[in-house]
Amino acid sequence: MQIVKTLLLCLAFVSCTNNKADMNEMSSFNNEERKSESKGTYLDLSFYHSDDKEQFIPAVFSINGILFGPKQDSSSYILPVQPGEYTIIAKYIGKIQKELDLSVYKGDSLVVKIYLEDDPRPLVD
Amino acid sequence: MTISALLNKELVKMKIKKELMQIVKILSLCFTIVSCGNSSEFTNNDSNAIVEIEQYKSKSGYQYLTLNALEKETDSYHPASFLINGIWLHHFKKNPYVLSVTEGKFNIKVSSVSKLPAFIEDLYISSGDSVVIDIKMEDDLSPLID
Repeated sequence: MQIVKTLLLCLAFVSCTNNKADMNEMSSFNNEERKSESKGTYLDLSFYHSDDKEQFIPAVFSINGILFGPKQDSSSYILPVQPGEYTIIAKYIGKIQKELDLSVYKGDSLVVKIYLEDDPRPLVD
Repeated sequence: MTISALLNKELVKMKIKKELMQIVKILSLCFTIVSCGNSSEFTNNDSNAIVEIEQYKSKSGYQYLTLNALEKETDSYHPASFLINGIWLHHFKKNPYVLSVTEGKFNIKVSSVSKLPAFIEDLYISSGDSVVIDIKMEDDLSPLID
């Protein structure tokens, strides 16, 4: 019985360590995994309105704790990265903050389009 | 079978059970230690760069990371590439590279042509901190082509 209990404890521990928060809400983002021609690993980010999926948003975002300012033109942000796990947080005035957890593999060029939804809350309470 | 033989058998069983329990306990402890261990990607093997870290409180209350890639001999700015938490950032201007960051832990690799890479591991930036890092890079004397 004690053996079983210990094994159960180990199993619980393993399942807890692998339990990642799934931030990938449906239709709030779109990612395409491509093989980069240069064999480098890239993260291609762009932000759009959720209502009008063609309309670009100059959002502020952070990747793994580094903040990036908005782009003036509608081009995407292309960042050379190392293979690994990335947490992207996108923000814009009047929009709900969006958080994504992504895995980037070696030689991949991950194209991520994030659609930010309107925040109905007033700016001042 | 006598009572003493039965008792002996039970004792042996108990002993085996105890030993098994100890093995399982040790294994689970090892497993816990391995899973909790922080696997750092960076190694400080052959870098002789001098890294000076200064921590200030920022006036704005936001977090900043200022990276100064410098020549070891002259202390003049040197263009460098920074790998911060897996993201490559290039700064080829001869001035400080100021980044806005969130509160948290940072792993930084600084590299440049003809310089030995420098590593800063597990740098923690607290809320409202402005961290200034001077990286005095050493010349890499190994030939570009062997």
